[in-house]
Amino acid sequence: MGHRYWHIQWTPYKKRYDAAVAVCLVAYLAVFYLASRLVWGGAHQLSDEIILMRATATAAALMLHIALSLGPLARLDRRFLPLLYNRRHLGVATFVVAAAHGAIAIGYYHGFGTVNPLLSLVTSNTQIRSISSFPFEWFGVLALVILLVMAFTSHDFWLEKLSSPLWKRLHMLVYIAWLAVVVHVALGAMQSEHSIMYPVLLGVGAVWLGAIHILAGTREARREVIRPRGDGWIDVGRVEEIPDAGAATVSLPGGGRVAVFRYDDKLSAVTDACAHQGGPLGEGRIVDGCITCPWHGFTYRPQDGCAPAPFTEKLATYALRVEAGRVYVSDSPFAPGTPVEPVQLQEVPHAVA
Amino acid sequence: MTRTQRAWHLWTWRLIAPLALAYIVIALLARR
Repeated sequence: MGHRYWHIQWTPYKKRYDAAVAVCLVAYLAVFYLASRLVWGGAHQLSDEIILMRATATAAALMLHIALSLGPLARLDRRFLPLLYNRRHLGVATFVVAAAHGAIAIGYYHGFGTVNPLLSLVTSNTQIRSISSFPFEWFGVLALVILLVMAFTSHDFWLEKLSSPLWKRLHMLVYIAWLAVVVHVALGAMQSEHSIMYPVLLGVGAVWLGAIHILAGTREARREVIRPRGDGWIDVGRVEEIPDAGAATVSLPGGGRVAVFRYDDKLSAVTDACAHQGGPLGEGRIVDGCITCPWHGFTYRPQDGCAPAPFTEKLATYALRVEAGRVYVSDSPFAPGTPVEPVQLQEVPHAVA
Repeated sequence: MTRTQRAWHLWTWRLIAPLALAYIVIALLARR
């Protein structure tokens, strides 16, 4: 039995994305280093190891917050969508920086004794009844292990092997990793150094992430309102409410969602869930004539829901009709990949007000 | 995204964001 080897499908966009992440990271580390040297000079001079440990720690924490912000930000404002496409690359980079922080910390604090540094890390402090002296390293290890598993499986090979729902559930562990990072900092750096910046930055991060996730989720839930006509057709809204090269989405009485796309004065409807990972297609756009998923850029022809060759993914399609400028979608899908003649808007009187 | 996934994202943050904030305050008060 063998497995097919899948290359990472590099595109110029992915390379630019990675280059931008690398440049920002190196610039951040350099500025952090120089600023630390300037602020703590003379008698208070810090060692290179300490500065690097802090630089990589703050960089990884910042990257984790950015990675967690991209999903809700893209749902709140489409302009963030390009940053979401290769979020996995940012995630892997976050793991690498966090691992560098872990390696420096373990080497610096546990590398000069007689006990194995990794063993020393988890056994040297057992004051679990204390808050201010709690072994905060344990939470750092937990976060790093979660990021390691996520980075290791950040490839379509694993997405296929683990199945999309299990993969997504596994990657939702990032929320636990974030919580572990908060506890790691609150019990670690926040206890040993009394700078007010630690609780303030941690608090701002928690409020920010909580607020944008709840805002994006609530806004989505509000769109769940279903307007059935009772004859198998669902009201989508007015034609002009559908953005050009974009979509309006509507929930179906039986669960699930349909995305109605408008492009070249035509309308087509497909299921809102991408065949790759259930991504919200209706939040994507029509690029080069194809529906493009906002999550990972999977593409589908709007008229039959099929991914262009050589890809084989297929989406369920839906019948559409326009009456007096309002769009209606059938509440029952056609089999995935069934061609449906797009509704021509110029043929429909009063279609565009 | 399915309805379940959306609900999961929403409710996780309704839970863990206040939890994290509460934890930060507790850790702040416990500082020596």
